[in-house]
Amino acid sequence: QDDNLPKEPRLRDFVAKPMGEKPVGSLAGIGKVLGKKLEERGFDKAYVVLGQFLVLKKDEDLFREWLKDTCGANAKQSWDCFGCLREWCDAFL
Amino acid sequence: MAAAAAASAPQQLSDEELFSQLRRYGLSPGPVTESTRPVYLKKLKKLREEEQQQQHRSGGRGHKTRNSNNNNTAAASIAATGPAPAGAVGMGVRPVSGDLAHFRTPGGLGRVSASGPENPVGGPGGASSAPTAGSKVLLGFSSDESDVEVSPRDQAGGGGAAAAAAGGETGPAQTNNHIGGGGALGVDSSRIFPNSLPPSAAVAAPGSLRINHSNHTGANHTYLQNAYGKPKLSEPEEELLQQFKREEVSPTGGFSAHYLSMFLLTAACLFFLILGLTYLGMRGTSVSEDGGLSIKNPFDETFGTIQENEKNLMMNTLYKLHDRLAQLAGDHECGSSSQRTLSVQEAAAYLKNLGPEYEDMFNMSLQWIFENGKDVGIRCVGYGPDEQLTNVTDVQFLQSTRPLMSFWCRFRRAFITVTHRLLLLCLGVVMVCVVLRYMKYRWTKEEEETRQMYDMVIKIIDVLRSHNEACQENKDLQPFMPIPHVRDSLILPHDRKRMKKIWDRAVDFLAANESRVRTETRRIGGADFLVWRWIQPSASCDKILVIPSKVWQGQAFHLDRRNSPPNSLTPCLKIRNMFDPVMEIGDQWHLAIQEAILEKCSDNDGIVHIAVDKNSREGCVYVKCLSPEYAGKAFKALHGSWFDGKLVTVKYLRLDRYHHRFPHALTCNTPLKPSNKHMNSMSHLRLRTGLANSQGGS
Repeated sequence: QDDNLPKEPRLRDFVAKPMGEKPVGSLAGIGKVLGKKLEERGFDKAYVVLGQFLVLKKDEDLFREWLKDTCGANAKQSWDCFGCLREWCDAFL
Repeated sequence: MAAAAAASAPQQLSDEELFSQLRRYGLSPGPVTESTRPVYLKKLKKLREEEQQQQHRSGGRGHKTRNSNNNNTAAASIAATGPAPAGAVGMGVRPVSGDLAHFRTPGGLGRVSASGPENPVGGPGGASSAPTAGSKVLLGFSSDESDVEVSPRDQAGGGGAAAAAAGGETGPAQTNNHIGGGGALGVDSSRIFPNSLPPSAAVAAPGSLRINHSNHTGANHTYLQNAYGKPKLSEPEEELLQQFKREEVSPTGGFSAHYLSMFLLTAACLFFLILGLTYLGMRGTSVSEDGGLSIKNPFDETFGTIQENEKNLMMNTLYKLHDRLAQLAGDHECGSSSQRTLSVQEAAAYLKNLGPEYEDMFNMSLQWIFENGKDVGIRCVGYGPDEQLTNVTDVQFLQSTRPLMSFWCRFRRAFITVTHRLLLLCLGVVMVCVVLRYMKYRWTKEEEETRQMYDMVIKIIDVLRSHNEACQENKDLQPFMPIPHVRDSLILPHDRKRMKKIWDRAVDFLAANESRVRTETRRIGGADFLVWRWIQPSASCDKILVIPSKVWQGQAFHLDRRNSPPNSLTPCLKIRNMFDPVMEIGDQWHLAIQEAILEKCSDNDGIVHIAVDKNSREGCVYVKCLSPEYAGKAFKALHGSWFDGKLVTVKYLRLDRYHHRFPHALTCNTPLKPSNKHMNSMSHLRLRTGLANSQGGS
């Protein structure tokens, strides 16, 4: 869970294969601070956040709003995370 | 109001109530769980506020109930792909309730809200039950409202067909919500599935869903009617057109800034102009005051012997004389009279006209003026202009040194002076501007040339390095390359003359600054050539430091039925995420992008038109092929590949929209090829796989 990685390789690594048991910090846009907050709320794995994303029917506004409320993500972070999950769904779902 | 009956403080709403409330607004929410609840509460609040605004704005409702019938059947048969048909029927229910709100007592409304929570709707699974529930509600009203004739079978049938079709479509449908600005769609309408329900219907429903959020009175029935009345292509046309338009930069922001700056500039200029004129105007008025002052002061010093009354008399005389002379001089200056001076006799006569006492004082005052060395406003001149005056008797003419001009004359003179000065100033400014522009032009040209020189140097180094690598493998090759050969392989023949200067600079640069390349003279085939020899440094550092940009880096995922359409749909493609317009420098980078695409599809001889949209934030490139099969091949080659660290995605576009945007493409039918054989953008792949064919996984 390295914050210093540039975002693009993170997205690439994430989308390149099934997410398995990857931690929530492996999502694009989610760094150490946000990851911790999400874990406190029970979203400790990336697939749980994916679940939330699917439960919100992959709606961008609702998901980004939810992310902002849950862990305080700013616009860029929530956009990155949304994009990452959407790409993943496009590829694997 | 419709919300009044079932509304309570949002926090007290149960999950089911929240869900049904959201449904009534036409939303198709996911399950309300403890994690999604806050988000949905916010959404509900926002919808309610919008509704209240709309209610205040709209007056009476002329909503024909006859059309509510159409609404229902229309709603039922319109299948939303992403949002479940439960939403569509929910929309069908709502207009009725909204309409009947004005005809019904709250008792009737109670039925609507009561039936709401009964629906165990949750996602597409509830689709089948929803139509029946909806029809139940409508039947309940039909007894009261004779116009509303809804047969439950139609409703259920329509709903069922919708559900089935929707279920089939939810698979490949994608949500592209971030496009949903203008068209307000929850679906990706530009993905064209010809074997599905009419796209217009699919598109119209979500569109009307959103619109119904804001205004569910007249707009409702007109819009739905339009969905049938207008040609079916209008909606997807709009959406596709908006897809294109969205990427164009809106110039309005730039305009207002431009106007603002121009306005400020003119205001400042005007201000300074007025200031200058005022100053000059002031200077004119101060003339008369000075004259009076200077006469007073020296008077006290020199003529102590004269008595008081004589003093006053003399003062008056002098004043009168001064005024007369000033007036005369002013007229002369303004051009109305040709005489500037007053002869002594005329002065005496003038004074005599004014009064007898003045005449006596005339000689004394004349003497005083003559003896007074300072400038009192009156000057004594003799016959000639420069004649030296030794005695009072020599004085022949009197002249005013401070002409008294009328205001208009002064203003005119001041204005002329000001204009002249401004003109000179402007000329000066213009010249400075011209000089600056010229310098800037030279500077940019210089920069451009330097940049090109460095590009050339880099290309040369690449060529030399690759030649060196080839030499490592093939011992028969010479380890050096003649300079002209390198030049000829890098620069096209028609460019050589133009690039000659740049080439020479590059050669000098290499000779002076590049340690890995050595310039030698060799005899090849009997002629002397200047050659370059590549000196290979330790292998590791080279590869790490140089990160090539604009190369293909492999594939992210295998393409199969799940993430690509089963067959090629159209011959036109939209490729996204090929670049970031903010990061690109220079003017020619789009050529590199085109090259990269052509090289990636080098075995595909069907690409006839490429256009890079330089302004698009998403990095879009539009490609047209000869036929859908070629487009499908290109799709497989490009979709899901990594290019320059970005994941490239491809989708199909309609041919007529493509031609609308790129009319030039109508006539293109010659396949495009990469401009050179180097395949620079595939270099990474070549190194990795070691094979010439690097397109795998299709």
